[in-house]
Amino acid sequence: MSSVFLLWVGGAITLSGAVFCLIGALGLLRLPDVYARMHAASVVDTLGMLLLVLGMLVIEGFSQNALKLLMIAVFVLFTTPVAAHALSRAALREIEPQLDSKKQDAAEPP
Amino acid sequence: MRHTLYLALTLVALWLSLSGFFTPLMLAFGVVSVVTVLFISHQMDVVDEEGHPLHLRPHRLLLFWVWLLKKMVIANLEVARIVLSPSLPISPTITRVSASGLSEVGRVTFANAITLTPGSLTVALTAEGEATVHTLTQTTARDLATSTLQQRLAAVEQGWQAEEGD
Repeated sequence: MSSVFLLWVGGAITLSGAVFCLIGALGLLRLPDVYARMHAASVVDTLGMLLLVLGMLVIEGFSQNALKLLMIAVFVLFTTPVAAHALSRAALREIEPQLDSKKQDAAEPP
Repeated sequence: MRHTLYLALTLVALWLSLSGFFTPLMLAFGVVSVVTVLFISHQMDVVDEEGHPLHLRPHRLLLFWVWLLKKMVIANLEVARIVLSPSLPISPTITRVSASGLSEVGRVTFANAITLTPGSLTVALTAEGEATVHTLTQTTARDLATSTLQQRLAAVEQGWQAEEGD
């Protein structure tokens, strides 16, 4: 009985994580430039990823797989900022060198 | 030597927690793997303070992570709200924040913590600890200017300079 309950709770949390991933993807499409889009992308690999892992943790319970899930979360949190940093540096050098703070063009609605 | 020992312990713990088998054959594989990784790490010359920062105070680091997690959730909700608003209320801003007084590992943690919170992104970081940050809104830039991030990291690293002669 309680395992069915946990399955639903975990499922709901996992689903909310998927919703945040969707929001991140939506932001990736809607936002105007590479830097702004990276902000949207980081929603996916922070709260989106954490909620997905948390949901699976609730379903999995206290086990060895739970430990592995936690490790996945930690490794993702340690590596994604480095990737984001590399990407933004490359953008700064190659794609959009003009990091103009005055440029505040409102994006056209989709 | 101290770092080699800690790396070995970490690797053993990692192997045991990922494997979950305690038969002699599997444990032997584990020993071979750990020794191989230790050997390669030594050849690559990455067994040092940077790869295994022992100067961080564990309970402070835990407190820092809890604080960062809270900030991350708030920032996520804010960015989600912006993305879902029909008018897309963004005001991209570039700011500079200082991470001076922190060790190398501390400065990298500083930059990564900013990048991890959606809505702010570290674009560049100088050796002196000045970070160039791109934020999605001006409000985020203002919040960042008054953020206690640097002090919190300094607390995690308290006393690191004393150990530098290591």
